[in-house]
Amino acid sequence: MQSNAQLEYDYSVVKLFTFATILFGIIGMLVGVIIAFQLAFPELSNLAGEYGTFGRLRPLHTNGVAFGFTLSGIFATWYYVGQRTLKMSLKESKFLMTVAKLHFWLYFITILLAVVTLIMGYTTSKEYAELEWPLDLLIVVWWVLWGVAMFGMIGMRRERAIYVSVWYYMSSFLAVAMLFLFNNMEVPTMFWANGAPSSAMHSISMYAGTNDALVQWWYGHNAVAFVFTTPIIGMIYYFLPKESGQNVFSYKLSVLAFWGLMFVYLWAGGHHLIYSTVPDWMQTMGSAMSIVLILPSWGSAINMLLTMKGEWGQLQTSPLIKFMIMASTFYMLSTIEGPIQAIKSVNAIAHFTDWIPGHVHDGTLGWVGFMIMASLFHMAPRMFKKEIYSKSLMETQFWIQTVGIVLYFTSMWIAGITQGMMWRAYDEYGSLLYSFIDTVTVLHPYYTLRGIGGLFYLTGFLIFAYNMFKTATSGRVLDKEPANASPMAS
Amino acid sequence: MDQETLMTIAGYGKFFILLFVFIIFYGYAFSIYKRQKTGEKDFEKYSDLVLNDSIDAAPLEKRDNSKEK
Repeated sequence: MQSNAQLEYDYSVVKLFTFATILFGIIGMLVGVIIAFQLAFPELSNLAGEYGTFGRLRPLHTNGVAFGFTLSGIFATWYYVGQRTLKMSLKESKFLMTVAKLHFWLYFITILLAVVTLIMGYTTSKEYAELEWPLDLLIVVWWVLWGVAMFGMIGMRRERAIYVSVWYYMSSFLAVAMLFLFNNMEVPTMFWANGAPSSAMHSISMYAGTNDALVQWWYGHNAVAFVFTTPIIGMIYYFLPKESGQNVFSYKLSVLAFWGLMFVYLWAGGHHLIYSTVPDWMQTMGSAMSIVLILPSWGSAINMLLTMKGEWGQLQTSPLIKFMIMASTFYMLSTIEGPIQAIKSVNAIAHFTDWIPGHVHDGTLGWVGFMIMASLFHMAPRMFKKEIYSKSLMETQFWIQTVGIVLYFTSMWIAGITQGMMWRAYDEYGSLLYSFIDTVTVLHPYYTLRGIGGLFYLTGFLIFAYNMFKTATSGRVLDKEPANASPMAS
Repeated sequence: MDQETLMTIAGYGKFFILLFVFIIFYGYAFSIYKRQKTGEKDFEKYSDLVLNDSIDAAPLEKRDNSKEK
């Protein structure tokens, strides 16, 4: 290793992923708002022929925000947090720098191809695993590259102790590798078509029926765990203490919450299949493990809130702290709501209703979105060496988006429970009281409200993108790196 | 083996696996808090890894194999 006298951290890859986070965030959220309004006003599905239908746009939204926006945010913050807590610079290794850049470009190309192929209608029809086999192979390549960069950086570190955030990123890498490989085992039909016409893009899953459902939801729920949860916890364990200048309330609790989460999360996926054809004990286990999951989730969330002990004044002065505390609060809301929905008797009402997307979105918009944007805001003055362009824009964004999230999840709570009750209502002869279309009519105002909530969030995201762009291009130049609170112009 | 016996074995199996993990996990928790209390290892110092993360800051625990050129 070189002497670290003139050594600096290298943020070139961080900047590339930051750009991707903003770009894919805009695309993914815009499509989300469009499909929300399509559900309220179905005639909007016919504006762009087959390319504008809900069936094509919905996977574009989910893949865009999960694997475009969120993964870019995870990679951007990894290359930042990783270097800083391990006390090594990518500049020290030409090999790791090349791997990191290759990781970015292959990733970027894959997500662009994902946008194109999903719009064209290529899909495996497996939720959150829609991308077809050639793209799956590309994903494996850059996921391995991320691993090489990650463990290469860990191998080169000066600091013996590995900070808990890095553990969370590592768990994300390892778990997603395992989940992705098993769930995407597929047979490209072209090679076994025996001369029958087959698209080169088409494949079928190696599993069928209940087995397919089991593998799918083991993957699906843990994609939430290891894309939307663990790396985001990794972020808050670094960015909240750093921005506030406070030590983590209890490092011991952070370690225990980590192992608790690791053990419990992988067993909870069965709650997606309650009252289906999977074995009963698996449904009960999925339900029970989901309840146990409250403990490690709240362990981390409470640890973060207590980190602010004695420093709550910062909540009034810093919009960045506001974003992170609100994120942590939404994490608590979401991780109590999920287990409640996983209780069998509650699930009987909640399953297949709009309460489920409501739950997903208070987690993704409130927890994941807020935490990623806050992390990018914190990194901006360090990587661009400029002051954040506008504090008042941050405040405006915060309130617009918070109102947007509240509109989203409250409308979906009401819609979901109404829907669940109407589906189950029957008269004294046991005949159903309502047909499906009756529920659609009743839910219309809530669907409209959801669209408006999403539009608020998207507006806030565009403000964020503008603020980041102006910070990079015309923020006041800083002569030295800020230690804690990020400088921002009023 | 009939279905009922299988279900019984599965039930006991599940209980003992959970008990085993429960003991390991709480044993680990106990050991962490005990080591902190007796001064054998200070876990709380690791939160300094965030606050002192500039590249020229001295490592909290320097790696033995990191040789300066």
